[in-house]
Amino acid sequence: MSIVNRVIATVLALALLFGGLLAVVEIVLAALGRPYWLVPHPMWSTWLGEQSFTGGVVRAILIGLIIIGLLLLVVALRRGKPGSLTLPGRTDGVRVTASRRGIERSLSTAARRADGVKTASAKAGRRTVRVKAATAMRSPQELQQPVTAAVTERLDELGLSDVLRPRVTVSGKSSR
Amino acid sequence: MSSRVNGVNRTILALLGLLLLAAGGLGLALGFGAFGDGDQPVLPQPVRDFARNQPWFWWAVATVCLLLALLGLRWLLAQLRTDRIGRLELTTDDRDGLTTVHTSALADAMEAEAESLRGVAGASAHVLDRGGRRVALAVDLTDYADIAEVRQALEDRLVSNMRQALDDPQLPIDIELRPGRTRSGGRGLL
Repeated sequence: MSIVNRVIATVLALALLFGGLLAVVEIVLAALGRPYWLVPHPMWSTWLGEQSFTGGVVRAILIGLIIIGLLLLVVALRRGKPGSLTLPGRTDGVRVTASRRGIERSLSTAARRADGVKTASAKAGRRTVRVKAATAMRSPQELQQPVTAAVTERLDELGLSDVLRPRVTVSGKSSR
Repeated sequence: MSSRVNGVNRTILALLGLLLLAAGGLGLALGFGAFGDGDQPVLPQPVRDFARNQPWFWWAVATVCLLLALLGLRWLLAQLRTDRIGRLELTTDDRDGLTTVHTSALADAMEAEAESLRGVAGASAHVLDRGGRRVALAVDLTDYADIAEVRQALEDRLVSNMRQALDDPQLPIDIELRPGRTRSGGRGLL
């Protein structure tokens, strides 16, 4: 989410910078009795003077403001998935993390290594990791235990067995 | 990227969101007659008269706009700032001479040492200033890397070497492991 926040922040900062400067230029031009440069403020002022809060256009703009405000709040307050997970510490002053995408790649590879698994994918959250495996075998349930064992072993290797709980789903997939 | 900037961005975006939400909600409430007559002009005549008759009004607005533009510029520059530092000052006594270390040299040494480990496909290191200096190391691991072994080698050898080089036994170090970045066996032999 930090990338999305940063892009939105950059766009808003640019809007604030150029909008503020443009307003200053228009005010100075108006004070000097010169015509407007980019913003037709005399027309805007007349139009605003004619509008009331019951007008359709004004209401549409106000609803737009509410929607943008809600979107900004969601973007600002949403925690999202963690970019990386902290592994249990071993050495003082050393913080070891593992990237979430890396963990997902590693777990899906571990799941694929179980005999009979055709494809596998993993999605890690803050507490659980969901592994979906597909097999061409007639009884996918038989693979539940070996895939779970492979995933748990890889989580152990990463030192994440106490942090992430695996949830493995094995589904049948007809071979073509 | 600076982690502090992320916090600032979230705070400002939340404040802007609240402001827009409040403005839109208040306007709609006015329109629906929550505060008396709903058919009020958006820009009442007394407000227009006041702006026209007070010569200082538009200069005050211009000053506020200029301040907002400066805030926007500062916010924009903050997006480009990183915590990375280019040099480390290790001088203990000026009379004995000055000691400066280019952090790129330290980073290169760390990366080379990490990449020499079996199962490591690549590494990137930076020296950061986050309330004191600290080192960040990102390590790309192969599919077949023994993660526990790589981690132990990094913590036992690389961390102690770096702390010794900088004469700082408590130097904070952040290691990010990125498993499964490549299917190759890695370049390291150790």
